[in-house]
Amino acid sequence: MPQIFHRSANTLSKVSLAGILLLVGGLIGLAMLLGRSSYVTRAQEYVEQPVQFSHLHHVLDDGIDCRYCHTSVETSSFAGIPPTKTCMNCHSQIWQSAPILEPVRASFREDKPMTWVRVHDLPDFVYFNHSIHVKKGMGCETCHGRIDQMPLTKQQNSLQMEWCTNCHRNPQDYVRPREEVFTMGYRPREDQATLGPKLVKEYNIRPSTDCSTCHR
Amino acid sequence: MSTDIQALRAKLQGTRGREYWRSLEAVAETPEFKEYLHREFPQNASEWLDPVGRRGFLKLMGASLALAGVTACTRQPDEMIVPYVRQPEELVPGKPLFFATAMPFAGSGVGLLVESHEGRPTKIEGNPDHPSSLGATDLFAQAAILGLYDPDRSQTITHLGEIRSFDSFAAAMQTVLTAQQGTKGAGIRILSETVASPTLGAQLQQFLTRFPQAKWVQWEPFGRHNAREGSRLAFGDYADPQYAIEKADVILSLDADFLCFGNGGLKHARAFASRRRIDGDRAELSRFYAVESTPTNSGSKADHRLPMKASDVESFARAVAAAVGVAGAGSATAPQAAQRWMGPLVKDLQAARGRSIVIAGDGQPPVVHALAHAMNAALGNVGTTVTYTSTAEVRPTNQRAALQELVGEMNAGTVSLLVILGGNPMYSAPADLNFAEAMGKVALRVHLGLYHDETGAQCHWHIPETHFLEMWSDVRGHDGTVSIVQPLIAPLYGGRSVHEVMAA
Repeated sequence: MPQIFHRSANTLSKVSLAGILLLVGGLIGLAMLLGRSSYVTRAQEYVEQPVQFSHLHHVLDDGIDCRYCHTSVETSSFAGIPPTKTCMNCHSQIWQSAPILEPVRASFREDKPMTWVRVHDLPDFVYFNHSIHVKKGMGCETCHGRIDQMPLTKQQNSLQMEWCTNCHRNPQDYVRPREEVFTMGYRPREDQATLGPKLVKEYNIRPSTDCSTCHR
Repeated sequence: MSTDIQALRAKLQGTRGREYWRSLEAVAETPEFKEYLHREFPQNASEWLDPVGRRGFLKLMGASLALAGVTACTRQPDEMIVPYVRQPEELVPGKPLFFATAMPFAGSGVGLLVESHEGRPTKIEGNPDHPSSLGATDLFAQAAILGLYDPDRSQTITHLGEIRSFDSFAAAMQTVLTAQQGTKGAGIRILSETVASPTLGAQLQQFLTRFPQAKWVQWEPFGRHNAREGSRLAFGDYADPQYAIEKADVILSLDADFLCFGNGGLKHARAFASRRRIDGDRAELSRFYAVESTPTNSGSKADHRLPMKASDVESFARAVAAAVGVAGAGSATAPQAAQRWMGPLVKDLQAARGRSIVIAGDGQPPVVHALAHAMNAALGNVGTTVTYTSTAEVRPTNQRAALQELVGEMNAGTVSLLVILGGNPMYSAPADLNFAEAMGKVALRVHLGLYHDETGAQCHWHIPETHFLEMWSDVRGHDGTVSIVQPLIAPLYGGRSVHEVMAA
């Protein structure tokens, strides 16, 4: 009785076995890549807003402090989006007829609030508190990137859990002196490897990685 | 299933040895029975016999279960941030504010601190500075926040089922009131719940001055009718007893759940607890005797608890009163079960003269309340552990008698305008008064209420009432402290407060 399969079938079966493994592995890898991609995390994505507000102009050109508008960042979980009144403090004096600012004026005139699209949108099952991070020496820039160089606001980081826990596990790599929290383009004056652990000790930073810290 | 007994007998005669059956039908082995036995489901039972449909269904279910997790792979939808145009002072976004207000309930008020997030009340807690609350709340106050957002609340002013404006209501009332001016309001009756708001009391008084022949009737279904009448029986006038539980060494409760309900329950609970704490070597524990007809929270805290029929409490109270020296208590004998129990109790009460309290329960008849007052007087407690204040209610009356009189007048046809301020008397009035039928004889009926309920449906005008978290008002606490009721939010459904209706 002759052989049914040719000798080359041996190689073929081995190659196809390896191929299947590769294919499955590749698919899993692809799924993981996709999950981290900016398509899913919406990082680096520009969002259409009622007014194309430029942090670049207000922060870098005008030198306005973060806390002039985001008033509650040091005291509340929510950093605060300024009421229309805050915009009008200046814009009733300067650029008072600029067409781009018409929605702001309309809001103030008609007493109807502006509707901004949230750029940094954590899932609703995550608890996040701005004030504690600011108090423990976490710079705005660490999470929000060089906001002073963004003509339009975008999300700098993935805001995925992996990204959060990275800092919660290694706070010494990211902590900065409290007086530098609102500084953009901060460079540590001494080596972060020595300054970091020192500040962690001084500020008594003990970031928890318990599930219930954020998922409460 | 018909079985032929003769045939069965014949069949059984032919059998020998062990053979079992469960029914005569099984022995007969009729074809009908065999079919019944072998069918999984009885005839006409609904059975999913279409194989394709059933399999298809299971497939779909399996697939949807497996793919349920895939919904997490979608991108998050856009979320909006809507800041204020002009941010209110003192408001920090993301942080709650707390406002002091008070909840009117069953003839008195409890001071509250209400948590508010960006203008929306979310949680009710007690006001530590209010004597009726001391920072605590009862279950009614806790639940009141749900009443505010209840979507079943009535939302529109209606006249004969049609939506009207408040202005047209006010105009209609003006016409009716002008017509009543001639008879000095002889046909007008106002039916409210127990009023503990000095402002509303003054408004009603003003109305009665304008219409001297009109009458104001109060009806509180869950009211303290017996306690009120008991105080009149004892003193000839209405009074609210105030108990200093923290000063009492011996407490006797006659079917009273004074730690939970009634006037000042929250305060009593705290005062009672203060005498139950062993602080170092200082242990001046109070002794608490409870006689009660149903298990209550207060009874569960008693040192000595005696279950007793509610109807026996009076004879027990008379026996104790006679023993502690109340003149005219009668010569009733305590129920059998209480005979042995009474001796130490009386000894304790007499040993703690001026440091004991006897409290009667709201469910007990007025005479038991009067006996409790007499016992407190005989034991020298008045002025030390028990004091009396004028009532928290603006105008205490015998509500049952007043309601009865009102029903009589309505039946006689002398009432032409009935204004119901709050509550649902159609539902809550005693059934034997037949309130519904009597109300049907009134020419014009107006109902102000949180819900378009039985009463609202039977009234010509219905006006949605404001929740106490939506209105300005005032209310007296159990000890007479007046608190301001301040709104936490503008009326959600355009309701009107009782004050606005009276002003119209």
